[in-house]
Amino acid sequence: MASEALAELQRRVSGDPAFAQRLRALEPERFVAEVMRESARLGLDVSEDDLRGSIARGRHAWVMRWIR
Amino acid sequence: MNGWPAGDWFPIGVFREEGRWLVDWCRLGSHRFVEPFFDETVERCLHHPFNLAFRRLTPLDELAENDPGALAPSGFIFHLSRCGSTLVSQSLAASTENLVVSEAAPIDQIVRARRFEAGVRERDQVRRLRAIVAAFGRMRSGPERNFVLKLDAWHALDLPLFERAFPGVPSIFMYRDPLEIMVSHARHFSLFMASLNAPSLLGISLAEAQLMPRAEYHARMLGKICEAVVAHDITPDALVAYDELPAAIEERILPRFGIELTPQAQLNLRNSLERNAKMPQLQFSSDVEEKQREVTTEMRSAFERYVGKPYAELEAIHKRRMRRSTMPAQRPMVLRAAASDRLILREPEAADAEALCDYYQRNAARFAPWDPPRSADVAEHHAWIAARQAQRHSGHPVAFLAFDPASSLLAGVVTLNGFGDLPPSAMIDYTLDANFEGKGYGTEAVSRIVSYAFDTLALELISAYYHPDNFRSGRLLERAGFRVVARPQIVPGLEHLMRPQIVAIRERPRGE
Repeated sequence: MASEALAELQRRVSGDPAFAQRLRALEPERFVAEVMRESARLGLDVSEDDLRGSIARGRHAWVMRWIR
Repeated sequence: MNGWPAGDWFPIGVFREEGRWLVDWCRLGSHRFVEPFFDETVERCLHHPFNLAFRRLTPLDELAENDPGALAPSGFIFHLSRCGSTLVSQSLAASTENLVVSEAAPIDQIVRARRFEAGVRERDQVRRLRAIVAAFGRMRSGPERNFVLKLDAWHALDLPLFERAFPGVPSIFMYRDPLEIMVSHARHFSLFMASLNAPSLLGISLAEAQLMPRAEYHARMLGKICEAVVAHDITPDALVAYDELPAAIEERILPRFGIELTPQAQLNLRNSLERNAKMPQLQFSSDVEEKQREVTTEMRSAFERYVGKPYAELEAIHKRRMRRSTMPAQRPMVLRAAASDRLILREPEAADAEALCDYYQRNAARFAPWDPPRSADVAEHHAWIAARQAQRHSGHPVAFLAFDPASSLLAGVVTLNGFGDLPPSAMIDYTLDANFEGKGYGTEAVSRIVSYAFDTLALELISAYYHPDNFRSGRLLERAGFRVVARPQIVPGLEHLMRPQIVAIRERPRGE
């Protein structure tokens, strides 16, 4: 499950189109490191495991669409 | 609060968790739905870790049924699978004014919910379907005016649900000979035939389906859909057969959906029709003969047993339409200016009357010295268009409107008239809008029609008449390869009947 900090970051991203656009514009290779930096700047204690776990869950949820 | 995330988020799935229906959202950004299938658009979005890390889940039942910013559906495309429906959806998606969503999983998940879950009320299903369709209707990058949804093949079993959710929204059902479809499914895996829940459409278990011969399984699925469409009492106008493609797109489907394309969109559509819809690197071509050659005895036997009868009934309904339409609509001819892509010349259509009226009104002062005044009554322009459509030379059109694809403005009018036989000849008339004067548009338009007259109408000679004071016209003709051959003198005493004029001609180049 996502940590409270990650959940808060997700809320901010979905409520702020400009912030979302900035993160979406990141190079995929730099994505995790940059999001960690943004989280710290916002005072959110998002761990790298949280973030990578969220990415993995997103991929898993999409793959599971075949089971329908 | 309408329950939708702000901006450019779109639903990629609907599922049930802990007794609640949830919508899974993903951010589309500035990307459009241009891939042949919804799943491919989502895959593309999910390439970026942002869209995997920052998904949103919201309760489905919190979504409002509509949104003022959402486009209402223009039409629904139902189909029997592997029958040209992707060609139709892709040709529409080629233009930015069309929002086309093709086989979207969230719609399917709502439609199928009732089949897999007891107790889902139809009115809830209708509300959820409206909400999720509205969520897609919001996905506008700017110029979208039309919104077409292509459904999954098995959604034809739920035609009544769609009609209840969207009364008055037109739909079509596309199909082809089921034997050819069976060949296609035997060649390539499809979710339609292979998903774990698919057998339930036939009322059988997955285990039973796995034991069933493939041809029988495919034939039973196709038969089930054909039966549902016939039982729904579908109108002949809603049936589109594969062998009517691609002409049916412009002649039947767009008018049925009330979609009028700009000249640029029309051009995009026609260009896209030259490509294979699912593999755009390949050219589109009919594959009827090729597929018929691959039909096996087993397929034919399964066809006869499970799908032959409802297919024959579909065909009988379709033939009623064919018999009724004694005069099929003619596809308007479109020419492109040879020198560039900046002009499209096409036959006038009834819908052009207003643009034509406006064209003559805004240029009235400029045309006054050379041409008789044109009416400000749109009806008279309608009549002119109807007359030009009826007046063809050897079956070919003789009047063209030149459009600027960038602005969709009517830039000019070029007509051929006064056809003669010895030698085969015609006179050319042309006018050009003030906005396009002095930039070579007139020369391009006239040159294109001259080529058309030589190449398509097989004329030998084209003549043009212009007033000696109309220097621009003289220069335009000179650039288009005409040469002055006469300057008729006014006969004394007949000044009130004659206008001074210069005659220029262009002959077919030797050896052509």
